[in-house]
Amino acid sequence: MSKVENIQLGREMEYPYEGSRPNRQIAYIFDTNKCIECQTCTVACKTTWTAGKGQEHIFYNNVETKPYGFFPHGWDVKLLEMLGPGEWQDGKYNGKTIFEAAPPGERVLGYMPEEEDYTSPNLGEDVCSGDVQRGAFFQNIHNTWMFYLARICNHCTYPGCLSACPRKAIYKRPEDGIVLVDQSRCRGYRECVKACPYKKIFYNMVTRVSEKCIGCFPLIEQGEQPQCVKTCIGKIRLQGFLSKPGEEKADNPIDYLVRIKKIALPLYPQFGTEPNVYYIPPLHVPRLFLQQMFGPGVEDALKTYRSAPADKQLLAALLMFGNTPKIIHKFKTDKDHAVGYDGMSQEAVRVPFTEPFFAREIFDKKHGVVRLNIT
Amino acid sequence: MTSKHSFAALLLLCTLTGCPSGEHDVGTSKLTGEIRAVAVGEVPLSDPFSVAWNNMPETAVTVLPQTVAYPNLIKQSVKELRVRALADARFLAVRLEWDDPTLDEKLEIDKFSDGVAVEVPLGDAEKTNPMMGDPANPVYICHWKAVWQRDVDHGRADVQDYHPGFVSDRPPFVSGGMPYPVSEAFESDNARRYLPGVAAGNPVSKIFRKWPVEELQAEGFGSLADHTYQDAQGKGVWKDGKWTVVLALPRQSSDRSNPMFQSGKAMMGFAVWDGGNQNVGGRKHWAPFVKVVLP
Repeated sequence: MSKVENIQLGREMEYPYEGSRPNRQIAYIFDTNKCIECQTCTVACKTTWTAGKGQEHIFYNNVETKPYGFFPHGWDVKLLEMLGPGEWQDGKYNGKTIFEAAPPGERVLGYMPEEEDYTSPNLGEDVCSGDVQRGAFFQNIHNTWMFYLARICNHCTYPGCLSACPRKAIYKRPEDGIVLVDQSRCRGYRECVKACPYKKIFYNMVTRVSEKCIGCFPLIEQGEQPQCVKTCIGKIRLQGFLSKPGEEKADNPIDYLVRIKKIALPLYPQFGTEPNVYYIPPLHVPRLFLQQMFGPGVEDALKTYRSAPADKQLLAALLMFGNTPKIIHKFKTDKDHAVGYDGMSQEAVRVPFTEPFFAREIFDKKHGVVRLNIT
Repeated sequence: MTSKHSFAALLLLCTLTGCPSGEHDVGTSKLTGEIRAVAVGEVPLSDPFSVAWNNMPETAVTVLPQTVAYPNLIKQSVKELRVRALADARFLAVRLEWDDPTLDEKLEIDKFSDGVAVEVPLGDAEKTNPMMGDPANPVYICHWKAVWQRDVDHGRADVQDYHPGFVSDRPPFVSGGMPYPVSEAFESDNARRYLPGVAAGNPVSKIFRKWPVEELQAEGFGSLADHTYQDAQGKGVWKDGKWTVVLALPRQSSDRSNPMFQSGKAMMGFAVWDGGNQNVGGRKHWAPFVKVVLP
C-alpha cells in the first residue's frame, strides 16, 4: 500500500498504487434541489450506450429516491454497515476508508451484489422518510422528506474498481481522468463489481466482461458535455474539468463551485475514492443524513447556496448549468449576463441573470381569441 | 491363457481401440510425486469415462488456496486433484478428477464457473515461478471452464436461457425477432457494437466456441493472454458430485508459445476453481509443478 493525499478526507490514506493525479480531472456538479427524477438522463444514456443484449440491468446513469431508493438494491447502506462508523473532526476524517478497512487477502472492502439486487432499478421511488401525520398538511411544513439522487460513475481519483482489478484492465486516462474498462483485456472476474463502493460497474452476462460509464469520452474529445448532462431538462448538471489541488482557477466554474465556494460536495467521501461527481445537497433534508452522505461541509454549502441570489459571481457559475452542450472552461459576468467560454476561449453561452419578462394582453385582438395561461 | 493374461490383453485392446465407457476402474496404481503418461493408439478425447482411462496410474495432487497475490482465496473447498495421463502421437491427454458437490456452469452477476487448468513452463522449470511465471520465464496454460463446456454441449447460454420471462425492445441494428438470439441476431458490425467485449475482440466474449478449453500464456500475475492459434482440446463431465475433465495438449505445434511434449520428462502445475464458492481468477486452488513422464 502507498500513501496518497485524499483532499476530501483532509489527510493521507493508504491506496494500492502510487498517487498520480491526471492533468485535469473530469468532474460533474449535480444540483439535487433541481432534479425532478424525469429519468431523461437515464434514457439518454441507456439508448446511447447500453441498449444491447446482456445490458438490460446496466444503467451507467440512474436516478434513485433517497432515503429508500437504491440501485442496485441497498448499495450504500450495505457498505456503510460493513465500514462501520467514522468521525470527522475539523474537516479531517478519522475513520477507515474502503482501502484501509480491506480484509486480509483483499485490496478493497466491498461486497458482491446479488442478481436480484438489479431487478428493480427504481425501487423505493418517491417513498418518503416516514408517514405524513394526519393534519400535517394543514400545518404548513411537515416533517417527512425525500429527494432524488442522480448517479453515474464518479471517475474517482483513487478508483476502487481499478485498484481491485488483478489484470490491470481498468485504467484512468491521464488527459482527463476518465476511468475505463479495457474491453479487450477484461476477463470478467468481477473484482471491480465487488470493489466499486458506488456499484457503478456492471457485469454483462452476454459478453462475460464488466462494463461501466465511459464519461461519453467521444463527446468530451470534441469539447461537448456528456449525454446525461446535455439532455437534462431540469438543468441540474454541469460537466467540466477540475484542476489539480492548489492550481484552482476562479474563472473555471467547476473549480469555483467545488473548491473555492465549496457549494458542491462529494458523495460518501468517507469511502476514500475521492469521487468526482459533486452534489449541491438538498435544502430540506435533515442535516445528519446529509452529513453522512456528503461529509462535514453540508451546512456551509447550503448557506452559500442560499446566498446565490445576492452573489452575482456565484449566480453566474450556476447559470452555466444546462444552457449549452459545450464544455465550459471559463466563465465571467458581463453586466446583466453570465458568459461561458469553451476550450478555445470562444464564447459558448450567454445567459441573462434575469429572464426577460413578457406581459401579453389577455385578449388577442388579431385572432379574436382569449389567451390561456398554460404555464 | 490365464485370466490375468486375458485381462491384460483386453486392457491393451481397449486402450488401443477405445471401448465403450462405463466399465469398472479396478486396480489403479497410486503414484506420488510424478505423473506417468501411458502410450495409447489414440487418446479418447470425447469421453472422460472411456475405459482407456481405467487402471492407468493415478497421482493425487494436493491443491492449496492461492494466497500469494491479491485477491486471495480464503476458503479452501477442494483438497486434491486425481490425475491420470495418456499420450498418443498427437496429444498428451491429462484427466483431472476432483470432488465438487455443485455443478457451476452459469455466469451471472454473482455466479461463477467451475474450472481447471494445467500450467507448463516454457523454459527452465527450475527458474520458472509456478505462480503464473514471470517475464523471463513464461508459462503455457491450458484452461477448461464448465461454462465453456456448456457452450459446446448445449449452445451458448443467452439471456432467455437464464431468464425465460425476458422481454426487451429490439436492440439496435439486430435482425429477427424476440428473443434476438446473440448467436444469430447480432451479425452486423453495428449490432456488435452493442456487445462491447465482442466488438473489441475479447476471447472471453467469443460467441461461438468449438472446444471448452483455451490455450494461454502468462508471464506473471495479471498477464494472461490467449494464444492466437488454439490447438488444445478437452471435455469435462460433472457426475455424482465430481468433475472429470480431460485436457488434450498438442505434443508438437507450430505455435512457438506451445511447449513440446517429447518423450522423457515435463513439468506441470495445476489450478482448480470452485465456482459455487465464488472462485474466479486468482481466487483459486493451485499446486506447484509435478513431474510428468512421457512415453
